[in-house]
Amino acid sequence: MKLLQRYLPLATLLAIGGTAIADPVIVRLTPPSKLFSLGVTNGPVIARFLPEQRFDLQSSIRPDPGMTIDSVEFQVDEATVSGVVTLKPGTGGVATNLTIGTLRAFETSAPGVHSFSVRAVQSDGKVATASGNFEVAPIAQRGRRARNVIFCIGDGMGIAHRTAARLMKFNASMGKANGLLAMDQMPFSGLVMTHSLNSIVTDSSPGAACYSTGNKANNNQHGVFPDDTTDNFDNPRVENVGEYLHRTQGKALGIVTTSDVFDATPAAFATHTQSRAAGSGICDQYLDESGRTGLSVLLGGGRKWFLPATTPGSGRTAATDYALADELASGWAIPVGQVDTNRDLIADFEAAGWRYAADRTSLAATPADTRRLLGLFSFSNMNVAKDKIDGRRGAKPAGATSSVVEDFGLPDQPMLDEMTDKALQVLSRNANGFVLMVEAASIDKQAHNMDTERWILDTIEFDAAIGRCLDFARTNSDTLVIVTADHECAGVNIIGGSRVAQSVLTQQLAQPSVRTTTYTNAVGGFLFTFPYSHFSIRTNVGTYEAAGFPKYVLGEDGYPVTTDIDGRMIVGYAANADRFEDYLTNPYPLRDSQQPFVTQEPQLRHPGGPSNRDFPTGNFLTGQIPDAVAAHTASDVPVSAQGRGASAFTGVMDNTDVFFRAMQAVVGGAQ
Amino acid sequence: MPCVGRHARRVRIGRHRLRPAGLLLPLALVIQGLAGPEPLSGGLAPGIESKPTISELHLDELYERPIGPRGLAFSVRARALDGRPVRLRGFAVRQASPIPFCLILSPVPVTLHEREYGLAEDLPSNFVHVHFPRGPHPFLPWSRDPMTVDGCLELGAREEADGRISHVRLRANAPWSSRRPPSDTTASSVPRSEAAANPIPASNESARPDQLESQPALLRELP
Repeated sequence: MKLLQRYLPLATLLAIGGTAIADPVIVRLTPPSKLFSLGVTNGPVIARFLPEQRFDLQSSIRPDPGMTIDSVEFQVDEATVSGVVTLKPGTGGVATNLTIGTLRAFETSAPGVHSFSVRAVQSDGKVATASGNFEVAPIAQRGRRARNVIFCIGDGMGIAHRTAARLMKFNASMGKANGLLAMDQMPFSGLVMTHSLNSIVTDSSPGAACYSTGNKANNNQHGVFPDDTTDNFDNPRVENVGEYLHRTQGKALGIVTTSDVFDATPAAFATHTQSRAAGSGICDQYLDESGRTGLSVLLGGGRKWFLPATTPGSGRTAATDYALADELASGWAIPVGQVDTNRDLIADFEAAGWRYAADRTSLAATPADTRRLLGLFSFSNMNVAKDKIDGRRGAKPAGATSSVVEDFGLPDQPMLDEMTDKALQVLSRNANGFVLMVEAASIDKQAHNMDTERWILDTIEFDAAIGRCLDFARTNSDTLVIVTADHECAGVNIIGGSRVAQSVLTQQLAQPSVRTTTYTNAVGGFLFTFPYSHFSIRTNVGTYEAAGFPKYVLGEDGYPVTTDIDGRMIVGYAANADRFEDYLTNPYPLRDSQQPFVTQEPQLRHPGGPSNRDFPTGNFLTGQIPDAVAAHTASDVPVSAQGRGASAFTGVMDNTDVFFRAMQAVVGGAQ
Repeated sequence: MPCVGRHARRVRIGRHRLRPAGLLLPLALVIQGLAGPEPLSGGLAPGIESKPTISELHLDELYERPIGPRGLAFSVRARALDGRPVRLRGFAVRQASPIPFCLILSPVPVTLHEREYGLAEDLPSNFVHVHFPRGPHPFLPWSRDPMTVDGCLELGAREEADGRISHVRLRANAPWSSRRPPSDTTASSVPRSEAAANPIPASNESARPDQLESQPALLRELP
């Protein structure tokens, strides 16, 4: 297979003809295309752009031994592309033998499929060429344009996450849901295919970048196409939605998330990198390139990236920082950046006219005339909805003297809907409209952990934020609201309801272990023995009619008074790692070593994965993947839309289609 | 930086006595049982022994509370104990990609998925990097239970091997030893050849005592 991949470009040259077979060899041609990589012309064109949306042209060439590549020329529709082509060596492994030619910030306005080729000349005069293609999507001019577009992304939120949130918030009886989520009430819905450029199963970087750029990316990369260097920030770029609409229409960009702001989904809307982990550089880019992106609101966690490295709590490192080559900076007209671990980024934001909020109180006090708003409410990810709500209620885990948010030292964190409200207030002051991305990040993170109640409450929190967006859209009719996910996480589904009351379940879990079983790990092949409760907890899982209709009761704050109810909803995970499960709400995120029974003898170690919970209650569930936590899946995710242009969001679509359908409404208008 | 005063040599995992049926506890006993001699008191002339004067320091005492709008600020007590022997209690963070000879101590249970999220994490800010002297075994067995660690407190920013910045470190003494730990009936039933035939990336999952002996260079993840 590797041989096939290695020689595919050469085979492509042979297959498509029209070019001389020669050394050197073109090994990569960007934007990516099936024509170049697979030698086929059928099927969808991989790279698509809006009219005048900018992107880089790049090619990697392997010269003959002892030779160099003297020049690289790109052609679009058989016409040479003007501009400077910069040559540099590849880096990392076999790529060191490559020469990379790059032409920055190309654009064309002509709709349709365009032929695209590269011609490289070696020092001995030999020539190598290769061909690919890309498409410029047609934008029809019709109706009124959407002035504002809001992407609400429930990270990892598949269909079952929505269903579980609806059932917990409204319950169902006699076959009908007793109420609908805000996202349920949006008039148009469809399904989105979420594959990335290099896998059927995406991660959040390309999963979000498809919405922000309209293009596929490799896993862990966003705003860029893959290249042959190890530099995290030199990849060929694709102009993202904020940059494009700020440049062409003067729109502002807002990013609101419950995660660390450098995390993949928020970063995909304003930055460009092949490493989603490069936190210092990503956060620097937020400010450094805000003149191009129109970024005006940035709310979430991740304060550690904004503090000088010498300040306790800072996470800034040279390895995660960035500095651009002059050719990239000049090609895109952006600052070169700097590796500056001691940068006080909060101070730099403030110096650039941003107002800074550190907690819910200061966020709420944001003056009405604020035009740029930075909010950093935690040092990395914000605490999840359940823990924030418990903190507001004064609820503490059993036996604890403080709530989880107090343990984290940040008891005054805002909810996502409160952040969304403030973002809308600030962005709506921009006369030319705005793009807003609202992300509920921990639906995904808690689904990875198979912490059922936490991701359900985060989905309920997300729905409250969606409600704010829809309220805004009702009074600002030229607003398009899109609710979707970047991918599904964990293979979540609702498999039934508990057959027993909470008190019975608790009594069962208190029974001493009476026998042992032997466990063989699928990966390690190790055997070991552990005891488990005589009562198999999984017999409590009621399927079909035994599931009944769980009855959760909401508090005044809109969240369940308790998630530990009689006949509770039971969730299963298809992309599961090994775990023990007692079907009780975990008092602490991720794991609770203070749960009842945990300290009872015998204390045993247990298999890897989130099986650090609920042991030794005995319900061991064998994982189907070798990872330590549950994984993303390739399942389609739902999309719902309301507002100007929303009727386009029906049927089954590629994730990049979401971008182009939204841009049709914003750029071309909708009836 | 030399630790001023006592440098305790104890790592206590959990609050349970050895149970023969367990896999972790024999190792916990090993760690306790192999602890070195009681340390000397700081400021005393060599050879003069006294009762330990190690200071207990709660993780919540490391920084001023509540946390302000910018960075953290070391507490007066933490600054006073900088370079001195302290006893910390917390949870060993469960990591997919731990640093050799180091663990992260957290006030609440945390699992980090570095592969999934990089440094976007749910780690409270008052975590501590606990460094152990280099020895034959780079990873301390992970346990779900609270851990008590004695060592020398060190304040100040430093980039760790995993890219995190540590602002508080504990220089703990070695829990390792060349003595063979007591065997466990279950563990001893595992063929060594089988373990060797199933290489798994290192992690700070618990390791069986026999693995500590048979694979000195790198502990292997257990099921």
